[in-house]
Amino acid sequence: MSVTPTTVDHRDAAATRDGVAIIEGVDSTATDLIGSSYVNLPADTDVPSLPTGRDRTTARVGVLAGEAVRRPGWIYLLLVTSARVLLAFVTGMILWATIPALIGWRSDVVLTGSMGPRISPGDVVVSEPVPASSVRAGQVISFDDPNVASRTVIHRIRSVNPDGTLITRGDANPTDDSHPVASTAIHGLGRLCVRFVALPVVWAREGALLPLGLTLFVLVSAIVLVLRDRDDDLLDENSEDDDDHVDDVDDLHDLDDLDDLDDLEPPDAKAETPNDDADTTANDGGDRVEDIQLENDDEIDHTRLVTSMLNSALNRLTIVIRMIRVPTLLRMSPIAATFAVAMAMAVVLGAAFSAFAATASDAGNAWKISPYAQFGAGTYVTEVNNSGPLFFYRLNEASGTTAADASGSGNPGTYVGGWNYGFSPQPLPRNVGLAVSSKNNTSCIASPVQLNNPKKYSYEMWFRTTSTSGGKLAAFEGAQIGTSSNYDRHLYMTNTGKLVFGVWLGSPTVITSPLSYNDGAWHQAAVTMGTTGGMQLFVDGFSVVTSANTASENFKGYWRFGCGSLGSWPNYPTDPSSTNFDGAIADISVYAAELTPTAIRTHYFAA
Amino acid sequence: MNRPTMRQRRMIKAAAVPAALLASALVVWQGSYAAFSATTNDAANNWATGNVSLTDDDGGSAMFNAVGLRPGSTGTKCIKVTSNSSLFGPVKLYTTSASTNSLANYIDVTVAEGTPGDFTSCGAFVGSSIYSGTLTAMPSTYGTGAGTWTPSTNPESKTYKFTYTVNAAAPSSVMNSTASATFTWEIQA
Repeated sequence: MSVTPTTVDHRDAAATRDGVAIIEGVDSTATDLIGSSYVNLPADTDVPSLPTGRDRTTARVGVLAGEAVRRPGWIYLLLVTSARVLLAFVTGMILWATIPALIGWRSDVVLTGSMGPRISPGDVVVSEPVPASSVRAGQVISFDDPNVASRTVIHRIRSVNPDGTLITRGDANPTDDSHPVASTAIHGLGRLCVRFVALPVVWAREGALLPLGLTLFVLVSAIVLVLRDRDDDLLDENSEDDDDHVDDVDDLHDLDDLDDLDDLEPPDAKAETPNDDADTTANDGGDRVEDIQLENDDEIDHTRLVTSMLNSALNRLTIVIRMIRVPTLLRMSPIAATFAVAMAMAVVLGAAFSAFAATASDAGNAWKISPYAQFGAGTYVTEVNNSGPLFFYRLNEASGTTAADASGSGNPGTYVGGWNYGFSPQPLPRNVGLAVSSKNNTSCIASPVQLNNPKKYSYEMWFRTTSTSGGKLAAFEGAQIGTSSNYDRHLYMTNTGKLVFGVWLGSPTVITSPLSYNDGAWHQAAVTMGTTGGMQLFVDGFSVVTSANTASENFKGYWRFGCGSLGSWPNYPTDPSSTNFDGAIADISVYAAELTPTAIRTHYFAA
Repeated sequence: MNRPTMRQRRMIKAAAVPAALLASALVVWQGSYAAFSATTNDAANNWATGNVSLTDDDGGSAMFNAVGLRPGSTGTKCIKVTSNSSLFGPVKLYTTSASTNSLANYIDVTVAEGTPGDFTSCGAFVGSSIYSGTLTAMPSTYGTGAGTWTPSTNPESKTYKFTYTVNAAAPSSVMNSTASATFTWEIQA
């Protein structure tokens, strides 16, 4: 065992590679490990004349004898030990992640990070089936996603509802999960979190080929290293006969160390582990070989696969296998088993989302039907006429300049300045009839009856606008049409959509609605004036503002709608050229009396 | 430098695998303890791996508190929902704790998704309808939720315009009754 210090490791490797044909076989096989072609590439292809392990060993020793076998150096030992540790560690992690499935536990690959940082994508969470009644806040459970069919979610329980459903949340989520988890949807209680072991699964799903390939490369390299080292072991064993039995004992000692791990396996698997027999035959190589050969013959069995995995990690079984003339396929089985288990893991394990989710809610929306609501169709016209209007313009015309009087009083109005007819949606949902909308700043509706200083009066109309320049909805003016010198008793909308009811008593006397109504919806507006209630403004069936004033300006005039003068009344609309109302109007009724609040409400709810 | 002796090699080899397996057990134990210990209940402020966040501009107010309704009553409201997320996924609208009484069968709701507009005003909202039907029939889970919005920038907002109408054919049996709903937007990534 001479040494050339300057080229220790390189020459070691070279010598081994050159001297042992089978190593070449292993190398070429290792590059094809991902596929199944290793089956067709027996490692001993290069030495067809040496078909069996024992013969090969002899031959190899013969070859090496001529080269003065060198003992490997520290760096090589470090490398191969690292490879062995890595493989054993990975195998151990995979076993932790998979073996509990044999006793009915559930393993899920975590695919997203909402349980971060404690549970990350690539982790495997092993959960134990538990009665739903036993879970409590703070525990992590896997459950059927209430949102998405056949998706599993792993989240932490925040609280348990009295009805047994669970409020859950991902650790990294700002809000609780939107839907409570039914007790029947629980898969299990998180018991083991095997970190990162399924990262390749996540990478594969994401198409992250670089880390996937890198991992594969490292693992394959480690396998190759360990396999080569096993051949070196054989060299050692055969070149140092004195150590043979000691070596065997060491091997078995390693197996003993694994007794604890055997506990992970189901009882039937444990019963078949080779340790007991091996212990008693530690110094009898032949018997031990027979025992373990039998183990390998039924390796296709699932539990055997697991056992074989353990042994592969220990790098022990194959040594024996080679000594007892097993085919190359079986000799390679630790590798095959590693990948078989890895593949099985990918198939067996579910994919659990720990979904990132956040919600925003608008709560407390309510719709309440009024106790005054009326049902059925077509009662508005009846109710208005029951109140005895001077005239009632539904403004339902399709054309022309005449606005028919639906009250039966025979006082039709006149469309002035042009209007858009047939405006929809109709203002009164349950009363057929469309509306008109103003066409320009001369659009107006005039009435034919001149009245002398009305002191008690009411009028009601429907309007709809989104205008922010307001406008005059109704007025009593000295002139039937055009500019008037006297005007009051009017209703106008400010720029902000508020309604103003005003009379002129030497100066404007107004009441203003607290709310705005330029919201694009149909509204009922009504004003009443009289000694009972003073000035009142109603919107949508109810009084919104009142004044004790009972006086209006004394002059003769006409009711008109959608137009008129305003001068500088409070918050007058700022439309530069006109105070015409910019919007749609309908169902105007005027009364020579003070309508009661009940009547106005009844009108509204009949609409 | 001396090469390792056969015995040293064997000892190291013998120790390597059990040590690795022991390490795997320790790692699993540690990971499990960290993940499942009940004392680690609240980690909601940790954003190590990304986050999603969704807010609306209702300031805690309901869009609709419509009392005194009659058949045919209608109303409109807009609400702006903002995603502030480092991960992007579909935002879906659904109702939670919606009442299932008969009135809810007669509240017709249309929802459009678009821009601009906010809780104060719909403004010049332009959007496309994502739901039209009764309050009762509105989706109630994320999986069936309505909407086509998947944020792709951060932050990103969308306005939802709600219009309700009490069906004009509502029968007198709904007199005095109340329907209610919470509208929820959820993003999952």
